[in-house]
Amino acid sequence: MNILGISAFYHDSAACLVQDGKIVAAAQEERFTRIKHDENFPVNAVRYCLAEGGVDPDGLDAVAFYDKPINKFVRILETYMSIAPRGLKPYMLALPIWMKKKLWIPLQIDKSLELAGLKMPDHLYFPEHHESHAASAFYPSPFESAAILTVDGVGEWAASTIGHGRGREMEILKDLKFPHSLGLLYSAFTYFTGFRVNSGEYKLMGLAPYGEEKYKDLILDKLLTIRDDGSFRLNMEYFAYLDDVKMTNDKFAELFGGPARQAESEISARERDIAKSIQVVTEEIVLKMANHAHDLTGEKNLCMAGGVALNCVANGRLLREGPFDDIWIQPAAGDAGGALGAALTVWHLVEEKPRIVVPGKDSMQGSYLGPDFEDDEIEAYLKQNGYVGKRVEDEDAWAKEIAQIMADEKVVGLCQGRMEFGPRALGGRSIIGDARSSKMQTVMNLKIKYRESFRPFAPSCLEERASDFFELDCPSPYMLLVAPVKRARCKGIDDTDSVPMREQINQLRSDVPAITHVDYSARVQTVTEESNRRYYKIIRAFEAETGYGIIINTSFNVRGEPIVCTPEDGYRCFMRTEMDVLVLGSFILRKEDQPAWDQADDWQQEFKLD
Amino acid sequence: MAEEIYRQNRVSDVVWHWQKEGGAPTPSTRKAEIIKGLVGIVIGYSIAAFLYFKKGHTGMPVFIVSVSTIITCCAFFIPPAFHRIEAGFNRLAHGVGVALAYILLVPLFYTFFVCSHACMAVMGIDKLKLKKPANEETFWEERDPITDKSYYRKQF
Repeated sequence: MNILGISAFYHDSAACLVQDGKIVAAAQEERFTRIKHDENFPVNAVRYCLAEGGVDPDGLDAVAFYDKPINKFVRILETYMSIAPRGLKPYMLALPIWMKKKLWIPLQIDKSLELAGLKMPDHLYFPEHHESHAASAFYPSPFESAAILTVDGVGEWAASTIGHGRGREMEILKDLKFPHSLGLLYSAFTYFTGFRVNSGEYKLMGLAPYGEEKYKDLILDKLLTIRDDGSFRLNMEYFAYLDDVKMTNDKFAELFGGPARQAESEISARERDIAKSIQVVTEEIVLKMANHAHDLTGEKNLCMAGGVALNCVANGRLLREGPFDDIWIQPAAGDAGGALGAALTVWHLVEEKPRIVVPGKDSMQGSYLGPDFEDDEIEAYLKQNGYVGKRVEDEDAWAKEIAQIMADEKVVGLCQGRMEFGPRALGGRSIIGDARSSKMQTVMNLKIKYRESFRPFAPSCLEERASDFFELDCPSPYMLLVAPVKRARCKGIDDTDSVPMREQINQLRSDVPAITHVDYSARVQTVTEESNRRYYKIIRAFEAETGYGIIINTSFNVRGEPIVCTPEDGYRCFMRTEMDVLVLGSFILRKEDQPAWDQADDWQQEFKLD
Repeated sequence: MAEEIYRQNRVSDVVWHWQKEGGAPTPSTRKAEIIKGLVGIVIGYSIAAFLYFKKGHTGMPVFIVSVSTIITCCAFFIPPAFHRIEAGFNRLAHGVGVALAYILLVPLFYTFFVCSHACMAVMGIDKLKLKKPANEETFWEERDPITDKSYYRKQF
């Protein structure tokens, strides 16, 4: 049975194909259209998934859309009823789009399938938004039963839910409703500190360790009323997202001593302290919610999804301080993962098909669910364009050569195997480098990624070596846990507070400084041979070369650009930046061997800064 | 001997268009353009006929027939020019759409939504729970289990 899952029209549209319960393909639309967080109907992702699954024109059995559009529309209408005569501006922006597109989902699906040369199936399903998130968290998890926590901006009405999964059964037990949303609270601070909503939340999290929690009490006192079970109400007098097209209002600005920071302007101590404060508040709310989920379900395992589940600092704290023995987080925890959850909901809850759990092993296949490209095709492409690359067929030799390049402090763009599903690059579409290098963070931020210098880089580490580098006693295959760097590896820095932020970044904090954040933490990806054989071999070869089974891994893109998908995207990004070497499948391309690149290519205007 | 051309597999053919770049437009695109051109000429000629035969105008029908003939010729023979004309019409349609949206939606907002708000205020309905919370022990709301599978077929 072929079930196509679709998420669309908010941010990160995506499609996914589930064949007889197995996740066969999944991808975000942005990777194909090259528009970051593309929200349009995922026509290209649908076509990809159906091609990957080899689905015949009449072979699709069901389509599952990740939310209930009418309920969402009703919520929007009731919001305007509650706040009118305020709210004309967002109303004028929202209503035409709803009338034109969002209310006609079956029609959109029909058109999209027609483009892919397929017939519309008879069965069309609409699980709830948070049910889709919950399903994406529980069904692929390695747990037979678990508590489920989903936290994001908003779905239909729910903004957070607690659920319980057992075997193929799954049930949402409780929810917190819009506008009292932890995701929107975090996004409000993202906006106020000058970053883009639905995109800059990661930056706010990365900025937090540079600050102090000076505003924590103010946030808890003025902005929300929180209960011991993690439920809360926001004081909407300070927020503007109901009646305006911005997140916070003047009263909020007054509370925090001045207007919101302008994008791209200097980051002051205030923004750093605000970042730290809201991060701590978020962690405490998530911890309380998790405790309540534990009390309700009595489970020892927790599954999480929703945009807030991408807050890996909170996840790490939850793992260390929370009541659960084990946590599994959907790697595509945001709306993209809703496509997967919707399809799995149909398979298990509607079709009542059993769920097969392999203890200790999830069914996400490392999240490598996107397209792969054959070496012969890459060769033909390189030849056609006159690009120069060396084909290294032997995997060990290939890995060794890449490891040697990295050990020389060179930066490598890696485009091999299937593309990742979700926001993290996990060695399929990654930029990699030497984690021991003291200059690597600055080089990668300013010359390769063209992004803010304060942003940290994450490590990929052989799973069996993780405990040598980090205070982490469980795998973290999806880079969703932050763990402290081993104390023995850390170097003491006496006076951090008096040092300007720009200099703090360059301080050597450990023997792997490129991945050690200012608070001596790192967002860890553990790699096994089973999850990604070629990537594992690179890190193992690097260990043989240097004694360190750990490298830097950041997504293969520049600021504002979606992660690369095809070898062509990879080559373009390689030539536009100061990357030294590009790996396309079995091919290794060195910058100095390539034909001159058209410098007039005005690429910095191509991607809107995120 | 002619060099062998690499044939993309089914997946690659869908997601990576390196072999097609700069090539001729796909047959389906051309077909759509020609259909648009034909629809344009039918509409244009119909309007012109109406104005000529029913209203007795002569200048305007000639103008309309000329414009629609040019557009259709562009669709058939000069695709780049047709694209520009189409983009122009799209911009015009967007402008008309925005104007119409304001004309229709603003009065709706100030009548329906403001009145609804007033009614809700009178009846003490606080759907968004905007009032300062009282002493509730929890803000979590219980959910009823889903027992009917037809629930998943509905958009609401």
